Amino acid sequence: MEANVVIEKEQDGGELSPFLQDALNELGNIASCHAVTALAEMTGTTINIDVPRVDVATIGDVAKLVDVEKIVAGDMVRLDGGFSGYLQVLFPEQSAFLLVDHLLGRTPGETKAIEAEMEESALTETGNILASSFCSAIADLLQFSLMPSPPTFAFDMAGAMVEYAIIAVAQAQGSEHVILFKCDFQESANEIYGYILLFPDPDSIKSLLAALETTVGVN
Amino acid sequence: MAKVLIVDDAAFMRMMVKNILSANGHEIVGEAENGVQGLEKYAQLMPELVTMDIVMPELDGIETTKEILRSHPDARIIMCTAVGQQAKVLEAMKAGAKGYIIKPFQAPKVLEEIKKVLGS
Repeated sequence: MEANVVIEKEQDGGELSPFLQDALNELGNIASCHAVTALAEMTGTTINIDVPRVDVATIGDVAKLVDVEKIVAGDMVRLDGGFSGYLQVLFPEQSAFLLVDHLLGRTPGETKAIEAEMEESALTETGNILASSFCSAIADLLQFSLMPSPPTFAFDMAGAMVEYAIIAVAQAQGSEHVILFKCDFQESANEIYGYILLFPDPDSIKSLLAALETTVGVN
Repeated sequence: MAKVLIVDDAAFMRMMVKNILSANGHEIVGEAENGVQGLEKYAQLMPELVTMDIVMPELDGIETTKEILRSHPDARIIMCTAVGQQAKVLEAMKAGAKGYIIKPFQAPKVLEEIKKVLGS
């Protein structure tokens, strides 16, 4: 079966088949658009989204994926249901400050640290809403349940946050490789940037492909 | 206009709901950070309306809703949920919640749902 061949190739050499690449790309694209729409509703502005990318990554690849020493404010959720893994919504430090300014009705540039409960809460809830929108889009498309856990918030170096998720997923599958989806977005008016990272569990890739095949009527 | 109890573990979301409701004439009589506090404050304050987050520590929104309705069957509870949790909303509605609002909150929709629930 094509799905099994796809997974074996991934486990062998860290390559994605064209079918898997396309399927994950499209799925992630749709889900990211939903998440970014939610952010646009919160900020009341336009958010632009870059073309998402799907990669096979190792811990050693983290530096190619993100600016590892850049401080980011991030939420991470565990996904469970028809699909499992980790999802991260990350905002670089200055973007996090600007987002807090916007959400709390402050003058842009007023927030200079994430210290107060309200500041952290604003970012945590933003990540929660984006993650939930992302999950909802996948669940609706593939007709299964997908629930994010309550978010874990951190203000740390991007490299450390991404490594955490890669290690968690890689350990689960006993492999060095994980499949990673990354989508960058930008709110132009206030120069707020961010990105969504999805780390699916290896068994989920099979479920995902099966659900996609059912959705498009292949099987 | 109603006396409202807000139950949500996120300070930011409590603030959002409070701002929308206060600006439109409702009185926020109390806030709770989790379901256990929500139960205590409901009994203490007897609000006309509760806005209830679903995912909370200590006691989640659905169990809190059930507990409140067990003692106060006429309680009016509106569930607050992020988009991906609509299955939970259905569960809450079966438990007796009267309505729901989706995060991120849009003020007109929040007010419309509150008006609908208060009128029921």
